[in-house]
Amino acid sequence: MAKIDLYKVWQKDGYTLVTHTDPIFFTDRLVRNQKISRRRESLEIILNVEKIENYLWEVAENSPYLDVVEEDGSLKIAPRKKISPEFEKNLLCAFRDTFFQEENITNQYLLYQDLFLYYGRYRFGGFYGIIHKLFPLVFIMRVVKGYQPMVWQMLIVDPYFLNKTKEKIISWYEEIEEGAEYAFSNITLVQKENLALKVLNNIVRKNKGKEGFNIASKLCGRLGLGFLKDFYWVATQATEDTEWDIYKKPPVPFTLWPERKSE
Amino acid sequence: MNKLRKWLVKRLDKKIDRIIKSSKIDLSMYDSGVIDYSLINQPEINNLREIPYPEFIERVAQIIEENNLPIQIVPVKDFFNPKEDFKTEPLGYKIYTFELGNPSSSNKIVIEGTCHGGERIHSLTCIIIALSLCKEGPLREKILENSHISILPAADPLGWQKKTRAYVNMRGDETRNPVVVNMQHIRNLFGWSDTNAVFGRNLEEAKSARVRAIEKHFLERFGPPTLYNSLHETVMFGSHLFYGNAGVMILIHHYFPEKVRDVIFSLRYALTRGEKLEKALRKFNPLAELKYTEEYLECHPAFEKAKSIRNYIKKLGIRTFEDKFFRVEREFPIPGPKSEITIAESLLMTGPLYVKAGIVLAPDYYEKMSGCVGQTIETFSQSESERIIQGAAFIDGTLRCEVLGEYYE
Repeated sequence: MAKIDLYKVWQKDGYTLVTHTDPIFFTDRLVRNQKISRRRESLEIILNVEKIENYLWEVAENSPYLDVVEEDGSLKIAPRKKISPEFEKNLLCAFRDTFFQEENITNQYLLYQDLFLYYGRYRFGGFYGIIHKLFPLVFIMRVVKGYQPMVWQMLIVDPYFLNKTKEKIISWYEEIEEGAEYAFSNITLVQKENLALKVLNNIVRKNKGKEGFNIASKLCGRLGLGFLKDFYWVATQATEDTEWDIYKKPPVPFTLWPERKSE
Repeated sequence: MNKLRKWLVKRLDKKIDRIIKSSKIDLSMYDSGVIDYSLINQPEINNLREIPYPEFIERVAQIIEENNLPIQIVPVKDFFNPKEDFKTEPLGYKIYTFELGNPSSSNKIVIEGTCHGGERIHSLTCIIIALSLCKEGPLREKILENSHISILPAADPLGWQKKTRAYVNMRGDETRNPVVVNMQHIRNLFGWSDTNAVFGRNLEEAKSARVRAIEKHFLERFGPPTLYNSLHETVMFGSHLFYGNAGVMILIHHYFPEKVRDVIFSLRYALTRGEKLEKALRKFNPLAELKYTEEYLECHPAFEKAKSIRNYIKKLGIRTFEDKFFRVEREFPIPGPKSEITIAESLLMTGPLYVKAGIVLAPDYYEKMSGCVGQTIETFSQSESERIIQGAAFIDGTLRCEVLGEYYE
């Protein structure tokens, strides 16, 4: 089962959702999509919250569409009946605006990066251009017999082989794109209680207009949510009490001993 | 011998001068029949630099009142409370549109000035267009009879005031305090994205209130537009180093089906002299495969119209986006999907970056909703009066090609 983690983080006056959308995780996401396209897995979105709220039970009990399942101490909302096309469309739109769009951009970006390396070599001025192709002639003209096999290998480049490598690159990314599209049409949502998140949210909530974000940014690494540091660090710019008050204090004197006054 | 040479040089100079004078028009005193270029003057531009947004609107309203011009000032209504005007959150600024022409006609034209607040110069372009269309003249009368024009001089009043652009959250909150690192705005941090891309968000609730109000105004109150033009300028730090004195760049937002789009992306633009010659020779060879975009898009109505607009701008003696920039791009290609691709000289189309990811810009959105034609232009770092001339010439060309049905080769 493929998974995406979402964290419900308290900001100044409301919750926002934060994910691991970091460039370092590009490759992980590519592999996930590839697996999905091969195994036809459904996507599980895990919503990390401070506290699992009861209203979800009530909503699920009354609704004909959703069913709540408890698994390993976490609540799971699974589809009971096929949801109405309007609701489904709305849900998909929301995900397309966030994940789907971004995933496709990264796929496309990496694809072009790979193809760039490929095309650059076979273009006119490139590595396999006319000048480099003529380079083995130097060996032929010098009549060094030992170099002959390498020379002929360099001169005759198999065009079929080159075509195949290009196609391989493209098909690999096509698979990933297909996986992304399949995943975002088969989603289940899971709610999960996260104590570390609760601590961080409480800190920000209690120290409103004070040093809440600063404390949270220093603490989140130790609580196992280190990726939130970027989020909190940026948010510190919005705090009312600044850190720059330290410069209001009298400065430390250059000399450690008091200067002798003129008598 | 020396005398002869001098005499020859003088004669040649005279001939060259005559040719240049016959083709080039002095735009400082020129009235094309649609737009009066003599309205553009530097002191007025200098005044715009410091004034706040409400004063700018007041001045325009004063001009309209004093001269009894047939321009209606229509404020944009709020999305949630349609009885009241939309007001920005901290300062309570309203968004205004200037309406001209015949409201019952089927040609509904929208001209958007400053989509990004920092690009203020084109709000002046909008005013110049509005004022010059109110002058006397047979062509203007014909245009105003056959079309209904709405001009949006400033889409983002707060950004206009602050000289920055807005970024929108996934919750629909707007900010004009983007996180800045090394003088570059980080756009997609935590889902903040540019306002131009917010118009086409899939989820209605993720759009900001301002964007929704403007959308509703144009689609329902003004009537679904048939032509949407948005004017942009490049004001980013350091852009003059590469794009100094570049001409008008036209971006066509025409809807092509996916198959057609894939074909266009795989083709290339004839850039060098050799390629252009090859392209010309290909016409005589019926067995030749498709290679260039211009071959493929030939006789396509949207493409031909954009081409004729470009030709009109060229005819006035105004610079358009030259091939040399594309040549540099081909020499030093940047790895990554392209946001725009060239299809002809100074004409571009939205590229695989937007298409594959499903990012829809404002003109694309109106095109999707009402089937109109969308165009945006980009003017680059050069003198302000020149940028205004370029924007005005583009609108001049579009009104001629779309409303009057002219064609320029």
